Parts: sequence; structure tokens; C-alpha cells
Amino acid sequence: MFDATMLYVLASHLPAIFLGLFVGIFFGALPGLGMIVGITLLLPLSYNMDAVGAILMLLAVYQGAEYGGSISAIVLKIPGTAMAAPIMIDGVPMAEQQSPGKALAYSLYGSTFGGLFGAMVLILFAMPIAALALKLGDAEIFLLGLLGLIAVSGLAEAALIKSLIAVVLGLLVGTIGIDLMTGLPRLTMGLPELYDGPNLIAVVVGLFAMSEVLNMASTRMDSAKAIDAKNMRTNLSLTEIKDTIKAMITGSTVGVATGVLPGVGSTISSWLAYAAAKKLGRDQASFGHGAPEGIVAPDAANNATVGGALLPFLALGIPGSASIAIIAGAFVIHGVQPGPQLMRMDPQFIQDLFVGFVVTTVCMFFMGRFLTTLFARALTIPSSILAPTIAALSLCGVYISSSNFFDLWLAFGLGVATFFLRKLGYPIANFILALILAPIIEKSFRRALTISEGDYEIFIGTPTAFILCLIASGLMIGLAFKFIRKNAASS
Amino acid sequence: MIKIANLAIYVILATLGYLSYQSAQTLPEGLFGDIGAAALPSALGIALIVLAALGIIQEVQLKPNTKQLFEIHLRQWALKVLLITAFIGAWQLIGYFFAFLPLFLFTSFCCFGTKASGASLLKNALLAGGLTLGAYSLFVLTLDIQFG
Repeated sequence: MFDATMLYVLASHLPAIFLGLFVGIFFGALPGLGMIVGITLLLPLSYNMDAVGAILMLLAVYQGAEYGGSISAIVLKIPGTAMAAPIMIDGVPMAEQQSPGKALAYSLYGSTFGGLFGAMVLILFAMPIAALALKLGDAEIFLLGLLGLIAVSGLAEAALIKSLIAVVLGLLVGTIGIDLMTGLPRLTMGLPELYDGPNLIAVVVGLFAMSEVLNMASTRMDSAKAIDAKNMRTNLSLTEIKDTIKAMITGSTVGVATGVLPGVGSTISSWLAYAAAKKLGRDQASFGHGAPEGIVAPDAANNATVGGALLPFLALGIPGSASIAIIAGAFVIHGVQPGPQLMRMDPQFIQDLFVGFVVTTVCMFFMGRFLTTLFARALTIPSSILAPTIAALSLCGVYISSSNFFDLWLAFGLGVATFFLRKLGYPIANFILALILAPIIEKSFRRALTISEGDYEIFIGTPTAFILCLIASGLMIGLAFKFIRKNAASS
Repeated sequence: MIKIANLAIYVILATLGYLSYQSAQTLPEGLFGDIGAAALPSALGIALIVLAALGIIQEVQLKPNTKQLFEIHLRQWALKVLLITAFIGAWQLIGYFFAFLPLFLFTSFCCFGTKASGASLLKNALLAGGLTLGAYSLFVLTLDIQFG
């Protein structure tokens, strides 16, 4: 698997991986910002890189942020990301009884194990799944995309109507631009800047970075948090590692399994992993009082989710979460179409990506080992400094991507609109996922109908399509019941 | 406040749905089994109108929500919007990104940071200058990107 060329390729991507990890851990550690803002800020930089380097950098942000969230959960008692919340249950007591460094060490080892476990599952299963996916036709691809959207709409914590509106809006924005089958401009309002569709980077920056900046501005900004950055050495003995291996495997398995499912993501996986580790733990009474298994299991699950989420994306070309949808943007920017064809046509690219992903996880371990104190100190940066810096960097990023002021105004306008929509409970992740899936869904739907000369039976014509159709129908009926039940309860 | 904002957003979304539907009607129909370029935007426009209508009905039935949209600082938020608008506007009309960047950062640090004092002004100026220098080194010197 390894040869001199690959080692050269990997070495040339190390700076991008380290940059991605640094940004990921930093943004993951800062409560409220999180991985998506980190990925958003680095996405424009990927323009000037080759495809493998760009994607590895963004994956490094994803991996790093999963660990970074635990730093503030343990040091500040505020989870940096939603998925780090269960880590607090045992992380905080351990930090108080022993040292923050010990709790962070368990978190780091758990994260690294989960990351490697996820990578191994990805390497082992991506090719076989892609080989199966090659047998899927346009009807099945359409149904898979639709299933993803329905699952995401139903699983969002927001009210169902708002969740569906976010999906419909995302699909609608995804249809803006030249229609690929007829060559006619759609919904462009006569603006040539929209002929290729809205600039993805401007949209992502507006949705996640600018709206977050405005969100920070709507609350008190001058407060800096005080932390005690002592006893931060992230060391574990061999016995301590051995004692938590079972919890790490449990967490990683849960993480990969939930990562594969569209819309489930790390938040649910970390809670499930915590519950599973507690149930299977030798000393259940110690959970909640600083049990190491209570830290490693959710952390392993968080990082294993990354590999799990990449599996359907790389094998089928269908992203299942907002973070993966933004990373899909990097594929689009570099003209790479993820999916079974990529696996078949460019195995070298996939191989570089897989090995780079493993290297990213190993680098995260070393970065965590040596720089955790620095990241803990970063928690003291007040939002009055962070917000304008993020705003300026975001605008730089949008300008780099197109050298067009239209896109800057678009990003800002979307930021203002998203600020209000977020305040009112609209799930923005649904919007971006639908936006990325819109061309896949529409193209496969129309191509299937063209092949069948307008016969809709094509969507139930094969056993796979029929099963997917049944699942989609079942999910939709479930959603309808959920809506009726919730409505009856609230009125 | 939240109830009014929700209703206002639903009305805007329904209007957006209607405009999308109208705009899609100008596109020709598809051929040879293809549903055509207009089908998806039309369907989504209708879906948006239906969902907005359902949202309005649901919102009217619900009890008023006492939660505020801006929990703390409306003025601070408006100032931030104004500063970013001014920054992009000045950059577009006059150019010289790296002249306006430290100005934008310094003003923002001063407006939203701790109370102004000689030391904090100096700290903000140094920070704004340092960040601008960092951005210049990264984007212009390393990545060779021209900002105008």
C-alpha cells in the first residue's frame, strides 16, 4: 500500500493537515463556534490546493473539532460542541478529583482510537459498498437522496414544518442556475452571477460564519472566560489505556453505525455511546463520578462518526450531514464527483485520501498531546475579538473564491437572513444538505424518467428501488404521524 | 415578539414560493419523458406555500411566546451589521482592502470590547495591525492573491 510516491504525497499534505487540525481543535474548543465555522473558514483556502490536500485539510478540521469540543467541556464545563456534552458528565468530576490533564488525556486517547476505528471501517467497507453502488441506476440514486432528506427532516430537533421548510428552501436554492438538461437559466432573476448557481462558498460563509458573527453580536461580547490552564499534561499509562479499551471499542462501534445514518450525527452517537459504555461497564456506579469509560466512549464515538459519515458519501456520493455536505463542496470545487465511479476510475485518489485520513488522526493525537494547554488558553479570547476576526476572514475567503463583490453581499445578506432563521429555530444543516443534494436528486430523477420515457414505474421497477420506495414511504408516513401527534399535543 | 417574527417569516416564505412558481412558469416543458426544467422549482414553490400556510395555522393556534428575539443587545447587533456593510461598501467603492481591514477590526474591537482606555486602544490597534499583517502575509505574500 505504501510506496515512495505515496510518502511524498503525504509529506506534501502534512502542512494542510496540521493547519486543518489546528483550526479544527481551536474552533471545536470555542463554545458556540464549532467545526462547521472552522470548515467554512478554510474552504476558500482549498481553492489554491490540490484536491487531496484540500479535502484532507477539511477532514482534519472535522476530526480536530470532535476532540476540541472536549477541551472546553472539561476545562470550562461548557461543551464546545453539542456532541461533547456527555463528556462533561465524567470529565468534570475527573478534572476536579485528579487533574484536567488526566480527563483530557482520556478524551484524546478515546478520540484517536475512534478516529482510527472509523478510518479502518471506511477503508474496509467503502470499496465493497461502491462496487454494489455501481449496480444502482438513476431511480435508486434518486431514492437514496430522497431517503437522506426525509431522514434529516424527521430527525432534526426543530419543529417539523421548519425542518421541512429548510429542506425545501435548500432544494429551491439548489435549482438556481443553468438547467443541466436544457441549458436554460432558472430562477436567476437575470443576474449572470447566478448562472452557475449561487457561489457555494458565499452561501456556506453566509449560513454558518456570518450568521454566527451576528449571533455573537446579539449577546454580550466583552466577557472573557477565566480558566486555570495548570495540570494539562495529557499522559496515560498502559494499564489505564488497557482498562478503557472495551469502552473505546463500544463507543467507536456506536459512532461508526450512527455516522453512516443520514442526519443522526455525532450528538446522538456520543449520548448512545455513553449509555452503551455504562450498560456494559464493570463498575456502573462510578459513572457520573469521573469514570474513564464515561469519557473515552463518547469521545471515541464522536471521532468514529467521521469515518462512518464518509462511508456513504465516498461510496454512494450522498452526504449525510452538514459537515460532510460542506466537504462535498470542496469535491465540487476541484471537479471531483464522489461516488462509485470515483472509486473505480481514480483508485489512487481514494487511496491517498484513506491513508491521509489515518495520518490525520495520528497527527491529531500528537497535536493534542503537545498543544492542549495552548488550546485551553484560547478559550480566554473574548468574542469581541473573535467576531470581527471571523467576519473579516470569512469575507476574505468569499472574495478569494470568486473576486466578485456580488458574492460578498450575497454572503452578508444570507448571514443576516440566517441569523433570524436560526433564532426562530430553523435547522440550517437541513438547508445546506438539501442544497448539495438538489442537483443529484433532480438529475437522477429526470434521467430515470427520460430512460423510462415518462413511466414512473421505474421508481419501483427493481427490488432495490422497491425496498427504498417502501422505506421512504414508511418514513414519510411516520413524519406525518409525528406532525399530527405534536400538533394535537400542543393545541 | 417570536410569534410575530414567525408569522412574518412564513409570509415572506409564501411570497418566495409564489415568486419561484411564477418564475418557473416561463420555462418550456420537457421532452421525451423529461419533466422539464420548470417541474422541480414549481413543485418546490408550491411546497413552500403549503408549508408556510401550515406554519401560519400552527402559529395562530399556539399560545404567545414571551421569548425575545434579541435577548440582550439589539443596538450592538445593528452596529455590527452597519460596520460590516460599511466595510464591504468601502472596499467595493474605493478598493484598498488592506487599508480598510485594520480600520474595520480596530473599530469593531473598540465598539464591542471593554471600556475604552489608553491601554485598551493601544492593544486594539496592535491587534488589528497584527491581524492585518498576518492576513497580508498569508493571502498576498504566500498565496499570491490580489485583493484590489
